[in-house]
Amino acid sequence: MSRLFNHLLVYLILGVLVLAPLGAIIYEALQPSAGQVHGIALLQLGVDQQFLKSLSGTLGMAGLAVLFSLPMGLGLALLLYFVPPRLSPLWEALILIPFLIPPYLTAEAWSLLTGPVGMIEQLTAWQALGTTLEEFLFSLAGMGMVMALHLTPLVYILLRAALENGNPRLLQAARVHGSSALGAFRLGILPLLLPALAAAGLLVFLDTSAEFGVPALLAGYAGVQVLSTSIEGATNVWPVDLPKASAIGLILCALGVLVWFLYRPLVRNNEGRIQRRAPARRVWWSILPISIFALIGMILPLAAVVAVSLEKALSVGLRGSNFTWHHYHHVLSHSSSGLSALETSLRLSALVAVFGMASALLAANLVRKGGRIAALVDLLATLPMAIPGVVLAVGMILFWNAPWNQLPVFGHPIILAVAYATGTFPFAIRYARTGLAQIPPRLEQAGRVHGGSPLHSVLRIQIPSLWPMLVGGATVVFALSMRELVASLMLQPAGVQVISTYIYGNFRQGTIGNGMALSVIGIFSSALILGLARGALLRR
Amino acid sequence: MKRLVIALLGLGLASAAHAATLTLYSAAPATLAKSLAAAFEKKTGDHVEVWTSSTGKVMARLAAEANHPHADVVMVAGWSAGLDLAKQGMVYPYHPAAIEKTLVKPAQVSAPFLPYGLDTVSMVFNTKALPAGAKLPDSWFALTQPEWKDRITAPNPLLSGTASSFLVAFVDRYGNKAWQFLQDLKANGTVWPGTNHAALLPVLSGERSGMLECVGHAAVAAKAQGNSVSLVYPKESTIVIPRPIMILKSAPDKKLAEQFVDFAMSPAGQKLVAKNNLYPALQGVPAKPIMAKMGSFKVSSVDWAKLAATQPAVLARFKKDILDQ
Repeated sequence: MSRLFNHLLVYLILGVLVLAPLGAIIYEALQPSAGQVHGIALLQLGVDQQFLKSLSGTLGMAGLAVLFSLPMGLGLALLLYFVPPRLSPLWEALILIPFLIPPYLTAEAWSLLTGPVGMIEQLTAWQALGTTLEEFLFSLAGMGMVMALHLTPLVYILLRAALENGNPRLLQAARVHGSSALGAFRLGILPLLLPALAAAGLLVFLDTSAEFGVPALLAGYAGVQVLSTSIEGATNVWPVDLPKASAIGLILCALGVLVWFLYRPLVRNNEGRIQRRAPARRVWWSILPISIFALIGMILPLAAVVAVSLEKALSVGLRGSNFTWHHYHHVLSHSSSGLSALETSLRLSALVAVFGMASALLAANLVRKGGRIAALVDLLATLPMAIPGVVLAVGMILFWNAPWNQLPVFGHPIILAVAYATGTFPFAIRYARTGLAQIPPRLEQAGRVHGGSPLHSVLRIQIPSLWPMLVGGATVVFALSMRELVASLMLQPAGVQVISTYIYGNFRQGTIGNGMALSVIGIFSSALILGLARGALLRR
Repeated sequence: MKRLVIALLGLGLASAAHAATLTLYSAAPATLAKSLAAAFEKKTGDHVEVWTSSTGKVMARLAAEANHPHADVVMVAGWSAGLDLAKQGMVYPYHPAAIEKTLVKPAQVSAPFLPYGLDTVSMVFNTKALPAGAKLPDSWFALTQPEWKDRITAPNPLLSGTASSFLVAFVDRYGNKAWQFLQDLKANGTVWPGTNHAALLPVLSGERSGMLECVGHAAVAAKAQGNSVSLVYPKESTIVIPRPIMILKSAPDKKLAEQFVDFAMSPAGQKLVAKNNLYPALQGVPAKPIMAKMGSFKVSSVDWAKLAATQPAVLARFKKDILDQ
């Protein structure tokens, strides 16, 4: 009975979170486009010039992001593996932080740093630099670069793991048998790195092609179009064309699924093997490339964010007379919508972290049993990795706002939680599965033999021994939910704002200083929460 | 787990039950919608839920929600957008003669709804970021000159209600010359990056020198913050655009919605309108001193009913020919 209930619950969760929006999208994409009486929107895309332009924009932006991020990530990984500086954990943290800054914020910050009266030209003597950088930023390559800065930490993590998994003796053996240093690298390291490089490249491609915030902020000035912004435009800007939005969404999804299926086999057997190797030679100069990366990926953008949050008038620039605390007073005042946006974000993200990890644990238990149903559950649970947020949002609008759907979800803040739960489910289930794999089956068998019910074994055995993994997964889900932008923009009901939509809204519709002030508060409060959660986790 | 699901469902149902609140959808300035809502709540004790975006997105959301309408009262920036909604049969007529009598002259336009304020569009320049040797132009048409190459932005009329009202009026007045002007602007590197703020931001940060068709309240707000911006009303004239406040037919509580509209049109509401850098619609409530006096710049009259009829076709052509979308 309880097993049946468990099954039904998992199907219900996955059905509502994943299948419903996907099904709605597929159905809508098969309808005629707005303004057409007959035909199928999906096929009508083939002759749509704007779609073809957007497709090439997306492919270009994602391709360039791969091109930029792989060398940077590879360089940093090799550096920290072979010639790490002293205090390398600290330097490694510097490499990872850019991943925690939402990319739309980096994009906005760099657009304020560059330009003829941008901060770079205000503070340095290089008069042409800001303008040149600005021309680069407002282009396909600039958008790719912003995404590369955000995703290089991911590339670094994957490549570093591949290096650690390698056998350092291979390198020694090659050298002993007379290879040059480069030849030894080619023989001993490169074969290990290639699958990891491919995996990292695919992951960067996947993430960049799904990105909305960066192109939404930069593409208008760059004169390019990408699929994600076309989908948002066809859904959110009058005249609306939902079949077309769904059709483009389906194409973007198909691209994601393709990349995802190429990616999955590359990382499947990536379990760490702990190896002893001679301590690496520590050199001081390896801090130089790391510092340069940290400077452009984190320090300069964050400095720009802080500076603008303290400026009265943007065009006056960095001057004593232009300094103000006003934006912080405004954002933190009781009547401010900024503060309530932060509160709503915290509450929704916490709810999704708890609810998401609980559902993921249920689903992971089902997947662990094996069999065809388990494979299907696993596929559905990880599918959202390949569904861009903007497509998910369109699907959710179609499903929850359908004429026959009388549930009061659309127009209620809970719809944001549903969207976050879908988007973060693959991460939640990955943590839950890793955790479950660590529990010796004997423990649970012992529990069952002594008369414990399955629920009992979940509560008394799984949750206590999984606790660190559950907390780890919950913090990741929490952090991802806090920064989610596009689904929040498209689904937020009247009277509700979350931190990302407040910041984006202030960039687009209001006072940029207020947006930046809340960004500073948001970055520090989520860093604090993540730090505390991690601290609590390590202490156990 | 089970209890959590039930609790969540309960939460959803519970909040749908007490629908005695008013839902307001509004275009920019967001601060006006929020302060009107707050003042109304304080006065009456009724709750107002606010969603703000740009006119184009408000219109899209109303269309998307046609099956399950959420909004009761809608405030947008372009008069033609309001007339378009009325033509679709979505507007519940509310324009008491008692209020219409008290409006300033340019706000006395007949429609099934009231104007809560007025605004203009103009050219805005960052005086610190002009091209070397350039002077402030006095004509819309000067912006196609080579000295303004890659220096100009404009709001996207698909998003901005004032820009769409202006575009339709401009096309009505100049015909093919207007389309040629837009093509020339595009060839001269002008970009239409989004809403008024999206187009104004690069001007404030000096990446671009100026913006055409900028909505007054955004320009005045930037100026009031101390930015080095200068507003130019072109010699060809601009238009004064009334901003509609409408009650939707789907609003369950028309009395509450009428109360809110009455409040927005009252001296207290109109003072908030003035505070948010718009021209009040009510006689006797002064606009901010920083704003150009009505009558100090050239204005051409507008046949709104005619424009509203051509608006969809003009926007569709703009989207295709100028934005390549």
